[in-house]
Amino acid sequence: MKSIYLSLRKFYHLHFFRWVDKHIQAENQHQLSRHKLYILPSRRGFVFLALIAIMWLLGTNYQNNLILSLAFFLISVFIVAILQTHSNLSGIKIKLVGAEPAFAGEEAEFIFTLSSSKPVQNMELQWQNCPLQPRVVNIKKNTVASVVVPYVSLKRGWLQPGRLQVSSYFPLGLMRCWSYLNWQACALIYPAPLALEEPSSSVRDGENRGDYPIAGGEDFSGLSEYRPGDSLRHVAWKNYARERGLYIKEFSQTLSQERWLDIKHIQGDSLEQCLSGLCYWALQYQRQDKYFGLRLNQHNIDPNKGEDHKRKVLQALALYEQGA
Amino acid sequence: MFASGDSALLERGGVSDQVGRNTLLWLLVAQGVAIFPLFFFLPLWLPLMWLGVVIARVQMFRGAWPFPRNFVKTLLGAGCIIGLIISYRSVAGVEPMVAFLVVAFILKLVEVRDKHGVVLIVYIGFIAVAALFIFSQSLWAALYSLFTLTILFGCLQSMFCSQVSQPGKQVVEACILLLKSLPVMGILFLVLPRISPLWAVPEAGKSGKTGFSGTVSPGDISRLVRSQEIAFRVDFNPDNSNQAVVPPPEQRYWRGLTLDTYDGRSWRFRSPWQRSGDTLSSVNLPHPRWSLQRQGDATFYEYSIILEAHGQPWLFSLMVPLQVTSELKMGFTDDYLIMTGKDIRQRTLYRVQSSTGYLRSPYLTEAERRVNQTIPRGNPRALALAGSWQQRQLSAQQTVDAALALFNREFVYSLQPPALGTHSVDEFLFDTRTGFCEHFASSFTFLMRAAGIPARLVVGYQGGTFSEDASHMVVRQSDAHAWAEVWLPSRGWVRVDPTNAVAPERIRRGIQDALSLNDAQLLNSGLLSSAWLQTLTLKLEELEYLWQKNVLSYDNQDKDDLLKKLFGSKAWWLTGLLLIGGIGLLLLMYHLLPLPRLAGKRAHPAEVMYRKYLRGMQAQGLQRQPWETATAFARRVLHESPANAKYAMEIADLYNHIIYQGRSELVPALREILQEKNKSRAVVQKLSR
Repeated sequence: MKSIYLSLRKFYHLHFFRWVDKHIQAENQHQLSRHKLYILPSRRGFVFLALIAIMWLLGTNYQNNLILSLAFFLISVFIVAILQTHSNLSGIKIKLVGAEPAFAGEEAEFIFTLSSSKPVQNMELQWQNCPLQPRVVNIKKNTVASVVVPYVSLKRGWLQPGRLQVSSYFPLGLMRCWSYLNWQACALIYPAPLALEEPSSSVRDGENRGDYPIAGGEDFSGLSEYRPGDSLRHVAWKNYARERGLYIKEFSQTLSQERWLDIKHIQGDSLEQCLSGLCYWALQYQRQDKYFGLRLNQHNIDPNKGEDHKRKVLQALALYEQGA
Repeated sequence: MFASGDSALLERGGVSDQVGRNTLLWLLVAQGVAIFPLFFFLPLWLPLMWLGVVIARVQMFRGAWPFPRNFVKTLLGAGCIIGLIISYRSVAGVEPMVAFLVVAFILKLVEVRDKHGVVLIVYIGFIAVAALFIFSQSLWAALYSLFTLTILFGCLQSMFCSQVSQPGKQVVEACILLLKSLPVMGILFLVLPRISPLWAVPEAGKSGKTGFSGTVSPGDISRLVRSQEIAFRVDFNPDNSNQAVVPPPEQRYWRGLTLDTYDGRSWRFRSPWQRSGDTLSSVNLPHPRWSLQRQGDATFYEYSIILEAHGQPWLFSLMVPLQVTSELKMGFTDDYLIMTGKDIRQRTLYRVQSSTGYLRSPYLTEAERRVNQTIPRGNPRALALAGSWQQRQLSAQQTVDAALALFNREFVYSLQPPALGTHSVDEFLFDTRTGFCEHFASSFTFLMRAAGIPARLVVGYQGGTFSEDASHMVVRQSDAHAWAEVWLPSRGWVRVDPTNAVAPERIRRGIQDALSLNDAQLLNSGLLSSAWLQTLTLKLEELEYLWQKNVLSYDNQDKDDLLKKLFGSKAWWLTGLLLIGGIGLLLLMYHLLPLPRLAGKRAHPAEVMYRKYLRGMQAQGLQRQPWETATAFARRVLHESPANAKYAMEIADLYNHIIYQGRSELVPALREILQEKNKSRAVVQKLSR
């Protein structure tokens, strides 16, 4: 019995969603219209209908017009609720703003803006394949609301979140109005950091004879204007105190110590673990504001530091051997 | 531009299933409102239990008490069921079932933790509303239930709107929803066909018990007439000339029950009831065994009676009922009475055709004669009197006349007769000689039987007054009456009302006129004392009547009539058309013109005050231009109107602070300064004059 139900469900899902995907193309913007919205009684709604049936029986058996009226009244409320639930969601414009990268196992955040010409209440947004609690949004009339819908991915690489499920039970929970929306959305998922032993290659001696002469180092070379992301350690505080503006002291030097995060030198059980370990140390170095480079067999990133460097490194780790 | 979405996200990360403070409050109120009217029909300990549970639930919410464990819940449930069994001594019947529902309703409150529980409780609330209608179908019950439904839907809504947290706004939203639903319900009510009951159901027992019981003892009717409650309402059908055919007051004898067994004190009817042989059905023609004979001019009365629940199986009608129609199964008895198969537990409508001018039962069977001549032992003086009539060889008619003449001479009609002893007929006839209709009817019947004339007692109502708009007649318990019927050879059963001999005005004008002043005051004690109260009562009764006639009694017949009126036909597809078309039209209307949200944005008080200030300035020729900010306007005032300069800048500053910085605490300051400005201006004006 259960297997029949399951196979029916599977069949329904397969065909229904094939139809949905054909119908609702991946885009950056959707407007919820009659064609995209589905509406059916919720489970509570079906119980409500059963309740109405009981009342009708009661009223008929007692020949009691008031009980019958009550049953009719509940039917009317049900009918009006259909209209209200549907009109709550219809006409909403949903726009994909972007996605924040995240580490595997954490929540990648997809940012949407919603706008409507009429008030919208209790709209729930949720990725279909993601077990997280739905986000609840209320939109005031003629305003734009932004909402972050998170997705938890355990796999590194490009994340394609699939269908966004938009639904609402407003106002009485009797009806469920919903839609599945496909998006041209991707989020980059970095490997989850894993505290492995420090790779041996990252500690290397050398007295000013590093292979990679780079900007930065110990020799002061001048001042440059502060840009967000620059290390606070290098801010010329004295200059700042004299109210001459925020400047960064620049140093030039060849590296005395080159740190390389090399996939060959980290000890992990699997490739994924190794990448996780590299990710962990990359974050550590970044936090300590140290120079480091990355070696992934063919793909090398020269030693450097800063936000941009970190991003490059993490991206390389995320996409390594992903075929993308 | 970015509005509420973010704040909503901060408030709640997702849909919470927990019962919050708001929802719990809603729940408590909704449940209280839903079960309050039921408490009047159920054991007294239920309200106390509800209070206890509410306190417990609040304590649980505050975390003071833990949620009950399973065995505590089982114990509570078992205790309540035992309580119900003790209260009712049985579990069958409507009251125990409703009480059980209420108990479940209340106990569920203890364990409700999540949304599903709340929804379940609200759903039980709907059933509680239906349960109320089993007990009471009055207009008030319906109006109250509308209120209950608003609260219940408000409660339901409060769970599915995270945004709206003010209860007032919730109620408004719920009201809008219900207002939209009412027209749809109207269509359903008018058009959906009713079907007959699918199975028999237990009836509520408590509703309506005023009226006669199966026995009449001295004092019973005089107690009954003190009630101003309505017994039934009569609607006389018009004849061809569109004039309602109404019997004259002295013909308004509404027969309810004939009593033919006397034990010296009480009259009762033979049991089992002498039913006519045929089965009960909804339409009956006169019983063949009645052997009615047309005699002289007959007036036909066609009328509908809406009978209040009296908990008995007999119905009231004018002599002689020829035909009766009703939804209920009804039948005639050998005594020309109408009865139903079961007790009348709710208002019932039936239509009767009666006619005067018929001879009834010219023949009496031996068994009937025996039953209607039996008298108990005792009352020697009355027997002697009857014996003297027999010795004088009076005919039956002469005997009746002799007895009526006796009553006419020395008897007093009173609501407060003296108590009677063992030989009650003797004492009444020869000693006290003061009594109410049941005394007269009872002793008259006794005398007739003693004189060898078959006689029986009839109870029912005599009279009836027209409602204010004269649309229908109202018969009250105060019209309760008892009279006699004697069987005269060649005339059959004839009505004789000995009260008529004593106090004829009772029959012609009603009880108020027949009684002495003292008695009339007793009758009126507390009831209908002042004129406006009387008017109000009449108006309310009028309303109840309309309610009963148009809503509670609405049936398929009325539906067909309506369809005929609208379309000239009652084809079944018209029902469907009206249903789908009507509701579709309504929904289209709702879709195209959404009702304005009543709970709209109100102007800030500072805004209101500032606008008033601007109007004042405008009156002095200083108008703020659309492009001017408050400050710019104030600067201009400073230059152009020195008289107003004093407060202009301050007002603009305060206004800016309140509106643009959200510093609502400055509102009183603004009000003060505006008042001060007005005051100083008044002073200036006075001085200048």
